[in-house]
Amino acid sequence: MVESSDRCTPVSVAIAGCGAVTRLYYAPALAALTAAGKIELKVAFDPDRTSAEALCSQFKAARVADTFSDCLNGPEVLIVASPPHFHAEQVTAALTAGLHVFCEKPLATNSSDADRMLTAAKQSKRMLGVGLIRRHLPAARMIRDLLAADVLGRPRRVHCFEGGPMSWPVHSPAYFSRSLSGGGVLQDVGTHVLDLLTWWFGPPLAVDYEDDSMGGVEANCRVVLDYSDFQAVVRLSRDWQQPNRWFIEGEKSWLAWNANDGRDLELGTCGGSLTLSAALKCNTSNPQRMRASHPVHDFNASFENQIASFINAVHGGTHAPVPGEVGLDVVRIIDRCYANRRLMHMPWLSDAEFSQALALSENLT
Amino acid sequence: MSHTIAVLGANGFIGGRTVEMMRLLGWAEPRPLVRRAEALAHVCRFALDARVADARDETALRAAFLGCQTVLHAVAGDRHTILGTLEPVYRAAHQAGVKRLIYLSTASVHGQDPAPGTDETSPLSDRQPIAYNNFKVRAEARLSALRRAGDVEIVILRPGIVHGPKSAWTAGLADELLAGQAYLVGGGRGICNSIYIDNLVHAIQLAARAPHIDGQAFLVSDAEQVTWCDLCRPIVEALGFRMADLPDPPVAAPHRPLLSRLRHTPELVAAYRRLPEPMRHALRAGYASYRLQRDKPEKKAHARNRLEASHERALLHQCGYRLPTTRAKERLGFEPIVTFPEAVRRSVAWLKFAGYPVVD
Repeated sequence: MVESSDRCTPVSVAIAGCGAVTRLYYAPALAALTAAGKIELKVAFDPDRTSAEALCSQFKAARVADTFSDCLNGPEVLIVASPPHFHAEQVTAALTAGLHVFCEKPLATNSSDADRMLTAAKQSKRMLGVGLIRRHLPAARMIRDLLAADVLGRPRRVHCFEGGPMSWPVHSPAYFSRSLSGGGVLQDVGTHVLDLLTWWFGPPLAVDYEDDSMGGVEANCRVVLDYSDFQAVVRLSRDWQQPNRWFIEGEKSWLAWNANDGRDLELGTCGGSLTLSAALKCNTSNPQRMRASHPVHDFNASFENQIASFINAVHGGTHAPVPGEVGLDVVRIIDRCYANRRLMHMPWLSDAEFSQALALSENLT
Repeated sequence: MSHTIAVLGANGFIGGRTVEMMRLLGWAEPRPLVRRAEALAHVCRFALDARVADARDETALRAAFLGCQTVLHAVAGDRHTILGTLEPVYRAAHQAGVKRLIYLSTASVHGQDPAPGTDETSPLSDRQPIAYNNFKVRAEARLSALRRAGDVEIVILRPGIVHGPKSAWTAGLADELLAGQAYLVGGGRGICNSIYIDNLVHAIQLAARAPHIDGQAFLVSDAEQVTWCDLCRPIVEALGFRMADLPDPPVAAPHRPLLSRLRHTPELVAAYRRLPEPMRHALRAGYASYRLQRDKPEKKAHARNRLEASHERALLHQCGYRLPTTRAKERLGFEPIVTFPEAVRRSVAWLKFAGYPVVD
């Protein structure tokens, strides 16, 4: 899965934040890159030292940093996988110290912080990449290609439902605070969804937003993005399970995709009675690693690939594959959503309850 | 001084709606408790003093109960959860100075098809054919024993078929319909001892405050007598099906294999739906593998098309007796706050909110 590289010396890497995303995704990806001789994890920092120690125990060259600043002396690249409200401070400090930075999504919890981060990248002439993993999923790339090739015709309707009861292993109730996470399901899953929409269709002309926050952070939301010819309706939930499915209808054909599925797509013609259920394959072979019909990356391999492509860019002195500007675009849309939010209609509430819900929703924490 | 109620199992559909109604109607200050922090995603729509504590961890519970006058035990689960959480919860409540523990039991302690004349004074058996009933009967007995040795008052609520948003009888039915697995035994003409979730929460509110009810159990239900057909029809039609589409399948033998019985237990089905998709996928794959090895080849073809009514559902769907709520009316002042037609209207509206393909 890891692309070959001409550079012999591994890139030295530090990581800040050793929680769930690091344990579940970054650690295996970094281990594969280490085995491929692409990187060497030198240092890890987490306020919970035990988490940092657990990560470092998997990497021979890694040591635990006592403070965040300790991460900044020596490594060429810092991966920021801390909770979102730390991103601005840590990314800016690392760029200023001369490191390239790969920041887990969301880039920041508001666009002014994100602006500052991009300014720091420009001033330091260092690379700022953002972890928007879905751009590395083969199925998401294929959808982009199909849209660009006008296979569907002009889009008429886009709809997606994503979510389900939350199962991401968070540390404490504090996670569900606007000050720590920047928001709820919109800030979390919504970052991925809005990024795909802007990647596939460009920036929306207008955004309409409602959620169910009543003093806390939203568990459900609905976003309607206006494009010149169609609307994209996004429904996100941390509450109830439905098929996590995208549906894109064009004038000629339609396409359906199960979110986070790297490999499979469904295609059909409008008015047709048949569906093409397709598994993606690589049609260009890497002579070292794969046969011509090798299956495409699944989610975990795609995650590894996004780190590898950033490291390759550092190796080659080129540009971040998914640069900070892309992360800023998404943060700006989320800012617009929260700035114009309405309380969702919750039809099971009595009139008295809904009145109080309205009052509470004006007072977000 | 405000009345603070710790809600154990605040991520469940009863616990969650209790927190919501408490917060929005202001009759008490809710303190949601869950076993894992991520389970707070829904209640944290509100800014609340939410806590993480395992209902078997007496020390964690004691800290979480401090400052609470009442504890609501709304933890769903298997036998070990039902019976294994009682002592830690009671002892922690005692140590934290809690005045009253409200325990959510079930009308099923009287059986799914209780004999005419049954009420709260009827003797309970823990030798019923449905294992869940027995666990709840034992739980009630265990709580009574704890009360005899402790200071915390016990009030037991015995709701029947709790319906409404997220319930097994609303969302579960919708899921079954969409999966082609819904059915009604005997055409659903049996009595459904239903209670809409808001009416149950109203009973919880009354049980938290009413004087002189220590040690008592209360049957609670909707105001109207309804059939299973009445409960199911709005959901069926909202999703574009017809009642005539629902099969009346043969009833499985009472002594079916354990795994098969578990698959048709509403509480387990609800717990299964709360699992992350990868875990559900693994369970489905494991069960399929088990069936593949167990079934003889000639059985397999038949099994693929077979729909059987569970013994529990068959008893429920053919229930001939409406449980009384006289005691709840007299001693709690209980009167349902939502009518049955309004309840099903809200349930259907929730289905649409939750992303089900409701036909306009």
